[in-house]
Amino acid sequence: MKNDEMKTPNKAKEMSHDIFDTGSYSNESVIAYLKEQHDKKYRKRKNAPAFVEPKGQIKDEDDILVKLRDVRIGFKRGNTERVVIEHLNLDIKRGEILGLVGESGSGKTTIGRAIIRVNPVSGGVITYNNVPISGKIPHHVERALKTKIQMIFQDPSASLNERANVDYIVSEGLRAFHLYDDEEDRLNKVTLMLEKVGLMPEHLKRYPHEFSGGQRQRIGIARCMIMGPEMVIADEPISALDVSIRAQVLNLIKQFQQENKMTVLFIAHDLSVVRYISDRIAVINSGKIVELADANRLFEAPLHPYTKALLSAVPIPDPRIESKKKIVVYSPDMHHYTEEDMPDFYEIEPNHFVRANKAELKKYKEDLKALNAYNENLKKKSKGGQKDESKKD
Amino acid sequence: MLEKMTSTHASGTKNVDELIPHNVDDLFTVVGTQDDEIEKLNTAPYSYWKITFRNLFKNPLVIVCLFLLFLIVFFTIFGPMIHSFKVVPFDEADRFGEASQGYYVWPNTVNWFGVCGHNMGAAWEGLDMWSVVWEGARLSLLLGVVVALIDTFLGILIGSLWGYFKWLDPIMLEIRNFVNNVPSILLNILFMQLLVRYMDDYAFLIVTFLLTMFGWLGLASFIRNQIIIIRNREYNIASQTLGSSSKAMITHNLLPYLVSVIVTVASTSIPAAISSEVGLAFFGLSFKISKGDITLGQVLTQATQGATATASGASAPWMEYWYLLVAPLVVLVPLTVAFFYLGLALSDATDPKNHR
Amino acid sequence: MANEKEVVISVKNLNVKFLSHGKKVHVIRDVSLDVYKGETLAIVGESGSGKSVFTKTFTGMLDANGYIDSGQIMFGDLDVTKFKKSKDWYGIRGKRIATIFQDPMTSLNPLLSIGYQISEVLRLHHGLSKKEAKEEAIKLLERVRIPDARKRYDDYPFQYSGGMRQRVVIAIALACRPEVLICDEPTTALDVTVQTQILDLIKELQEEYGWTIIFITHDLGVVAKVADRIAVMYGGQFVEVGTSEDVFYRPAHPYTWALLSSLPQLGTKEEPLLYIKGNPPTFGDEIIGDAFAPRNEYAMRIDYIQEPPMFKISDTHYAKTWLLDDHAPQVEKPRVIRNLRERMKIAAEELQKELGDTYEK
Repeated sequence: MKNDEMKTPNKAKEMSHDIFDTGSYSNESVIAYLKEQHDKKYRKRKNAPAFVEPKGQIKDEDDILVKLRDVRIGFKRGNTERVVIEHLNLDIKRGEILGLVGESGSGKTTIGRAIIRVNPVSGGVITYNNVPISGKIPHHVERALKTKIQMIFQDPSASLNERANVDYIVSEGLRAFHLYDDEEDRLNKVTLMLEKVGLMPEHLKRYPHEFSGGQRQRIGIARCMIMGPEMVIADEPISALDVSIRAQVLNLIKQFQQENKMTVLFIAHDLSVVRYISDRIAVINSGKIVELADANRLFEAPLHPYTKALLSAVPIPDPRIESKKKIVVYSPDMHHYTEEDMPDFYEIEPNHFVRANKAELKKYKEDLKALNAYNENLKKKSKGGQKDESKKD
Repeated sequence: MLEKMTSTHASGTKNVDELIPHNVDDLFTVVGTQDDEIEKLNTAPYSYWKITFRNLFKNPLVIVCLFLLFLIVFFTIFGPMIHSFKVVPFDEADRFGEASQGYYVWPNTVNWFGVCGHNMGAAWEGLDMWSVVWEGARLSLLLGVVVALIDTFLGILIGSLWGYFKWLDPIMLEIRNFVNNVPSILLNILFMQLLVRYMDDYAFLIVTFLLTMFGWLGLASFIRNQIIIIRNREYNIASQTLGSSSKAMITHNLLPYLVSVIVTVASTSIPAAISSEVGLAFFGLSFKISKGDITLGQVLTQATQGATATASGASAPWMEYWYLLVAPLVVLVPLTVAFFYLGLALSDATDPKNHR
Repeated sequence: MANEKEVVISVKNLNVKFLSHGKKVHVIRDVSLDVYKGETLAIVGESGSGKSVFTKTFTGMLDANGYIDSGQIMFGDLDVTKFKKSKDWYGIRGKRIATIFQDPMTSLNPLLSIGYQISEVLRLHHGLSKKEAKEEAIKLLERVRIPDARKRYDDYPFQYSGGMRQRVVIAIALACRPEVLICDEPTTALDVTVQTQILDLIKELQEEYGWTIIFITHDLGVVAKVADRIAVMYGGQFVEVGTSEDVFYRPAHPYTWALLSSLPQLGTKEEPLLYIKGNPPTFGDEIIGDAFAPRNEYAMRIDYIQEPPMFKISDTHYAKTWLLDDHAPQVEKPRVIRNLRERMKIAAEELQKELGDTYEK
């Protein structure tokens, strides 16, 4: 996987379009590599732990666009390393929107930034279309990757260059890869993209600080989408915006995703928003994914106490309900994990995963039954009552 | 007018009926949003330099400083023309009966800044101080501007590479430590000894070289620090993910943020270079009057040292004839002070925080 | 408005302007409002609506280029618009009116320990001895549920998480024993779970101490829990004022409709989420007519010509829209508003299974 063949820059440019179509670093290679690393690490130690094959969540290998296996991310400060993510296994499906939800400090942003190579990983493998993209990779692969994965940032005022005008900001990626014929072509592309995100050609010569928060975030989306990425990492793209305009940004991302069959990793801290846009949702707490399910299913049958806490924290815009609502508080101490009964990530029903130990798994299975019954009941009631609402689900 | 019409105290519909009684239905037709209006920016387009200059010239201090600088530049060009750069003949100097005290002549209506005297050295004896000072100021100013330009250019170039490329940092830090810990005057003396034989033909080049040899280091390490501060800001990470080249990153993302500090440092480095030349001249490492080159540094050196230096025990010339010191300072002090305050004003005017 | 309640702050025809590049910008436009004792008044609006500027006038904390052009702000029997010197504010700012900002670090000194910052307030305002102040400060920290308060007394702000810092700021406000507490987006920068905890705490403390709270936010969703009354602000004016139930169950202004419609909690996955097109007015030019008109689907021709008056809907409920005029046509409200209660119920069921049942009762 290392410097196999270093191409001259020109050749690399020609190659860049098909590097990721011919990826051959399949699951077996990943496992073999991880086993080798594991053996190397414990070579000199006695009673080394047995190698456990890391598993993803998607069965069909061909569906997986991004694969994270046994990923470890830490930040070095002097000689100590603060580990944020450890033993992370995650699959991102081609063409889906995966919501990644957690609180600040949970490591959700770190994961997104590791995929796009802003944060280096210190262990494990990330592959994109069966091409390894973590650790040391050839320069031309890294360049090519930048045309494939793009990012939308959280704070639209911090992530736009205040000293550059909209024209420069939006065409920055085009310039970097020279993805245009001539100046006129570039300008056309930028203008077209601006109009797509609801801005006007007369904004080209304006500077970021002249715009409102929502407009700025749309500029951020424009500079990302003009590259025609296959995948977008949207890192809390709406949490810095007023609630009243969030949906505009959300709808734009969704619209681009559908037009271009894009894959999106949508990072957020608020479940109520993610539900609109996501196909699947992964809930993350302290660097561990605690629950992962289809978006609707997660709302129908939340199992992990942390997911429940997140759900109950969403304020309901109804004064009478709010006065009755109890907050579910989550504390990691509520799991009684022991040496003998350590937690793992189990598939409790098809495509619904939850982090639990054996004792918890048993309890969650019962919870699931109760929730299914509750939902059945609800459906019946609404069928009897309002025809309109029965269309749901 | 409008406020009166739309007072919140207006109650019910009465007001409207009175205003436009004929087409109430038309008034109350839903027409919806103004889509082409709501994205428009109704503020004037922002231009960094336009606002910078507007802020700059609003400051009265800037006008005073610019006027002072204009005056100084004017006299460095035309000053010596008023009195030619020449030796005042002894009998002419003696007109006032003062030259008997050793050719020194106190400022008077002819020699406005006085005349240089005998113990300042043969080459100085009888020179008119007015023309000496302006000749000196001309060369000092020229030197200051050239050195500042070179320092700034090198400082920006090296500083931005130093800050941007992490691998350069340890090397450059060692160079900085070396230069900071070795007395610069020692290095200057060493280089001067090596180059002294070319002094006749390339005096200006050599002095410029001595002054710029490590003069860029200050600005370079300053820019390096600033870049390290802003290097990991979100918008730079964004550019990185868009694949922007190092050159684009430095010229579009980093340097534009440093314009304010660069302009300030550059404008203060002109008086700094002029002062450094004064220092060099003091150690005899600068221009020689024997070659017809005069700088303010030399004038000051001669006034404080005389030809034989104070080592002889004799008192320095200025202690008796203080106009020798006052005359060059009358030019040097306003020159440095004007540049200093101009630098301060520039740093305010170029700071985008003051543009909103 | 209802007279039986005691008015704490009474604002009459307030106009605030800012000088920007030699141009006068009209930010608060002829606003009148009463704040009653012991109530929680939520001021809801988008960024740039003037909601923060409005409350900053109560404590004389306008930015240097802002000034009160005309109007009256009565705090008790003091007209604070008459204040000239900063000394005039000493008895009020921090003492009788305290403010909690979005970023707790604007109120905390990073170089002083948390304990010192609280006990200093107690010693200055209430003349406690050093020892008494420390004990009292620890009690206050415990009151805002800082775990291990005694141990964390000597910690510095950077050792606290964002939510904990906001709790400390609340503890400092507690130490001041103010009559009025202004919460300026206190939870916007926090995670949702922390946000609910802080809201709970504010609510609880208010019941205990009888504070009057002015709660500023852009998110109509969060105020259902805390607000007694809601004032919706747009373009430097209040466009709808009413009790919490008035605004949530019977919203009357198209802007309130739009705010409610854009709440993700009230949408369903099948339909696209709604938003308010365009941007809030930037006050560049004097606004003619209804400030919201250009973004308002229900804008009538008159909205572009003349500003609507405040229509009275009930004793507690007012809205500033021509739609309430007798001449106005009946409009079909946005789909979220049409079956608001139904959607609230679904949201409740979805977010917390047990709530669905309680709703029925």
